[in-house]
Amino acid sequence: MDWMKEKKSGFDKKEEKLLDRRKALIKAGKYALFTAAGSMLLLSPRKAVASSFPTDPGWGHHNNQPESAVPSCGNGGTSVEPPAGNKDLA
Amino acid sequence: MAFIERSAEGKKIIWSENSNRYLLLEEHAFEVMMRLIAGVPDVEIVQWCIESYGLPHREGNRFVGEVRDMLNQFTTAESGESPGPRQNAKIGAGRFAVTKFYQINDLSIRVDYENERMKTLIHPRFAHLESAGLQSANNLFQLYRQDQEWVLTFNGEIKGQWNPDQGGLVIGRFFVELLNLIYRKTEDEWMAVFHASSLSDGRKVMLFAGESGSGKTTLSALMVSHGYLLLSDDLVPVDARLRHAFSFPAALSVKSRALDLLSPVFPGLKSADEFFYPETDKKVRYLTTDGWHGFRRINLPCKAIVFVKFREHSGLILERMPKDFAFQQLVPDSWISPLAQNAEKFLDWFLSMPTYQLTYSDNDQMVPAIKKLFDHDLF
Repeated sequence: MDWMKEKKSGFDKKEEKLLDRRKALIKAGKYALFTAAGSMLLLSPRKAVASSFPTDPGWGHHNNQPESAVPSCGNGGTSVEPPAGNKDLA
Repeated sequence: MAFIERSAEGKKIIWSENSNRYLLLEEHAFEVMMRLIAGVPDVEIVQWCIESYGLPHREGNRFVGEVRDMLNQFTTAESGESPGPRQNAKIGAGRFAVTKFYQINDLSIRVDYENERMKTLIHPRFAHLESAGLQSANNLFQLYRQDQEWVLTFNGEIKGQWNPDQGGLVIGRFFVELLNLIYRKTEDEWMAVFHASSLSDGRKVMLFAGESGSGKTTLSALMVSHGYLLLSDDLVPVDARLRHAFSFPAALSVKSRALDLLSPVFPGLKSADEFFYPETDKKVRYLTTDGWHGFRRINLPCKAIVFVKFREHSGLILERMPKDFAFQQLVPDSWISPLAQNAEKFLDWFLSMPTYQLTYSDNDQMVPAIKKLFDHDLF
């Protein structure tokens, strides 16, 4: 790949800079920096869009009542509190 | 294997197309990594480490081995969080007790919910768009359960199947489908969807990111009361072509602890229905303003990303956040397109974006600080 070739050809030019860095790293405790934990961090974005809104109202908190027993959203300031229970969907 | 690399604050970022993962590296690790990727034999790289950094042979050998392990991990796609339909998903498997119609400008949308509980997952965020007069719609979503899993369909096509604890992914999928519908786009045309709120002064958009409970929504609502425009709350889509943030018509979710603060500004909150979420022990009301009933399709360029943190007695601390640190905060909480051209655009967009950390406890100080940030670059 082109960018890899560029990197390879650029290696020599960096030698001088690296020598300066070598001195700095030795001062800072070089072995700590030469570990995976001290020098790299792997980051994974989400595989799918996910909301952080709470997502559990009534869901899985239903002890086998018929649907009509599940409280629905009331009018004006009603608090909707589903019954506690297991986490099954049914 | 394809990679993209960029520099940030003296560090390096590499993206792997194979895994759609990002690796943040110190420069010396990057140098080793690039040699490994280019196929340089380990023994030569160890020798190079010895000569360049004065490492003993044993340490050089160990370090190159660790970087190689990381390379393997970095280029391997993760499993899990799969949103796709599985083989057993059936269209029309659901029976629907609740149907709601919504109007978003010229779009008519019908959503069939299997029961009241499923309705509470999506409807409260879009209740302000409900159109009681509609009897039919051109677009049909159906949400039901099959074999103890959520299933979401759109116009007869299964869009995903999720485990019971993945309600956030169901909402996320609904968000994407609705977003594509509103803007007549496909998923490939989005660069990223960030976990953030977005506000605009009419010219540019500022993204407010941070963990859940960090005060993004409260901050956004307060800024709306000072004349700023809310483009979206919780999820902020940015497209690949323009790299603009787009508006989205979901309501703000206001937690009970913010009620005292926001009720005087938005009196409707006092009489709004309250939803209790037992798993997180949260009580939430959904906030819309009159302006949101006539949803406007807006897209504007981004000006900055502000990472918000509400901390008692902190007053106000607004400081520039180093890019590498901001990157660590932003990426794990975002969906970023896995397409190479979009990932490259994301990296360039992010690196061009000023990033700030705002820690606050005093709203009287916070509001003018945000205004100032909109009007000027502070750092």
